[in-house]
Amino acid sequence: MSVFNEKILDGEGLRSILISGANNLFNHYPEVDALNVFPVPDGDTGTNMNLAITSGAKEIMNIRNVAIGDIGKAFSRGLLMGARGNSGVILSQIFRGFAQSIEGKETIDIQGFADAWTSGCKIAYKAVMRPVEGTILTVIRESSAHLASEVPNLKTIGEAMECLLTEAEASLARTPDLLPVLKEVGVVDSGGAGLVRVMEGMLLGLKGEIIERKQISLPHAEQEERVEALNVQSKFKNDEFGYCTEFILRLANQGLTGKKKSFDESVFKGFLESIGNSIVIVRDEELVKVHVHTLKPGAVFNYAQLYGEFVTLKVENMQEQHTHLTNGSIVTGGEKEVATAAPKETAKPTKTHKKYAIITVSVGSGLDEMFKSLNADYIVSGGQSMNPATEDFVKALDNVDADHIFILPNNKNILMAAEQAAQVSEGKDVQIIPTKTINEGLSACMMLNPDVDVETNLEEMKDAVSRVVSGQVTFSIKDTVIDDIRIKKNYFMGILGTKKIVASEKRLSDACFKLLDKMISPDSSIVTIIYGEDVSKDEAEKLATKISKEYKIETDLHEGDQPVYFYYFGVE
Amino acid sequence: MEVSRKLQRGKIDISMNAIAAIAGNAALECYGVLGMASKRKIIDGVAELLQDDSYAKGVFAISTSKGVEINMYIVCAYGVKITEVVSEVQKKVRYVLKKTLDIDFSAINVYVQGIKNIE
Repeated sequence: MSVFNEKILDGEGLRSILISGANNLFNHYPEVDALNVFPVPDGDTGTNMNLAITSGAKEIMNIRNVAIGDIGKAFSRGLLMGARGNSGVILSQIFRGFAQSIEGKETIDIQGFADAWTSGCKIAYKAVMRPVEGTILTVIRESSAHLASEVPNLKTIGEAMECLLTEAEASLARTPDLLPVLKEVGVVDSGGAGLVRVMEGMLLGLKGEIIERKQISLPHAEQEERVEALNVQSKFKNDEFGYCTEFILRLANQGLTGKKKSFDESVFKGFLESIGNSIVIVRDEELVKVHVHTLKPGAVFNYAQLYGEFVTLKVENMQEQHTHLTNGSIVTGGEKEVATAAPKETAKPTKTHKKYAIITVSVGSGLDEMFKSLNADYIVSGGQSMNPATEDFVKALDNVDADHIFILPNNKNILMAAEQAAQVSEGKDVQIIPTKTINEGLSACMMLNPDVDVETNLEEMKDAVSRVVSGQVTFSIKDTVIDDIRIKKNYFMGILGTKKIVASEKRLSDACFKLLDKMISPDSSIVTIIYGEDVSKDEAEKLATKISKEYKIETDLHEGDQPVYFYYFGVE
Repeated sequence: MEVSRKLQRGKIDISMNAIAAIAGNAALECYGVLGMASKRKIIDGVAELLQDDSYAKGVFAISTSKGVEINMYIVCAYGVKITEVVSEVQKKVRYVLKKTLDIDFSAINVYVQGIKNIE
């Protein structure tokens, strides 16, 4: 079905080459991402263009045997809907112009083909006040102009496409001369490169070699760089999250796409936190289930694939209200997944009626045990970046039967959800103790006395909370400077309270001691140490001994199993 | 109002107008942005494009306790995905300002004052 030697292009022909072009871009978009230095070096050009053109290709995927004008229209509409980022928008404009030119036509000849590209270029230029040369705009302008001037010498559509692509490639190679920043870095323009990939796919399509989508694999160094670039952007995008992304990954040493890295949950989580929120990671020996809200699901998948192969994938645009998107592609895992799929329900319902009940938020199995031993009646799993919703608290309240219920959110971010839950649960006496850290929560828990009245308990608990000085130790995911403290990537950070970073050290113990220096005063009598899942018992015990020697203070060591944070400290 | 910083060899003051000008220029290079519009639509006419020399009427920088806040009023092209254009403007303005001035921003607010048909 080669149409290379035809003089006329019809709807079916355009359809197949556009899909071929879209697939070719898909197969190469990580390369395009890597070129991205302008206008903002965030490494997303390829991803954006791919999202745009894939959305266009989807529109025409199932339309058969219609006029070329209709194909153009559908494709351009799809592109517009799916356009993301600068280059995605420009690409959508190019094909908008293309579609306008062929609108109402059954087929086009070589002249019509050239006119369509020229029109695409014109429309693309109209939407910008100050076009920057040396970008995708230059590539479309020069290549379409060249094609227009060559029309009399061309005999087939295939030749016309070849002519367009040749000039586009030449033009792309010249972009560094026009845009200094490209030359500095030593790359060609990324948007232009994306466009060339599309044209290349179209030409191969004309030759009868319709491009198929491939599994993409990224060279390691490149991946590393991209991760870096994404980190730069993360801070800015912290509060807008476009895609609900979920997948189940089978960890392996060897997968479809080559050798895999060994999985380290804290590193993995650190990466996700840099580009998303609402992160939930559940794992067993070989499977990891991940849920994250991110603007870059592609980056998440590419990164995850370094560790294993996907069992299932699901991405949903949370802004898009169309319900048809939610049908169909629901994660269907084996029993194993179903069992682990509900991380927020480490429920321990108490059916017997009590005078007092405590609902607390915990993270990590060790902490769950600690709270349980301290009379917590219901534990909501949560913590940093895994904030339980109001709904979780409402469910907790339904599961607890007591005259007075205390909620310990143990995190500032969860306080509001807890308060809302208290408001909606009618007929129950719910008291919220605004604990900001796990240590505060533990102290409050300890104070509950079933033999005294609510007010006394409340006072005692709040009093206990105010006596605790909390601190936590975690690691940094990027270089930055906060409050005059220079923080290095992968260094250990000591955080006083919940926010104030007081230490950034290469060694974990140094960070601990620097933090404790700020926490311990002459009046302090005991340090509660809760060590996380990344710390061994031996290490923790050594640290505890050292602390008690150094500060001449009593220590109380517990295994918390919490992720991300190596240690929680509470000083009283 | 200005942003000032003390260095070893003296002081650097950057006026809000200068910051606004840099932000405005960066925004105008963004794809899909056809120009700046006046903030006061009713007085100055319905979202008329500001001429090149008076585009400062469409960009404002104010200093707040959390950092500099930028408000800009733009006109977009019809038929482009506005949400993307706006987020690209924010991204680009922030990047350019950060790169050239190295100061912190509390917000970059973009108001689309009008849409212009380009066909």
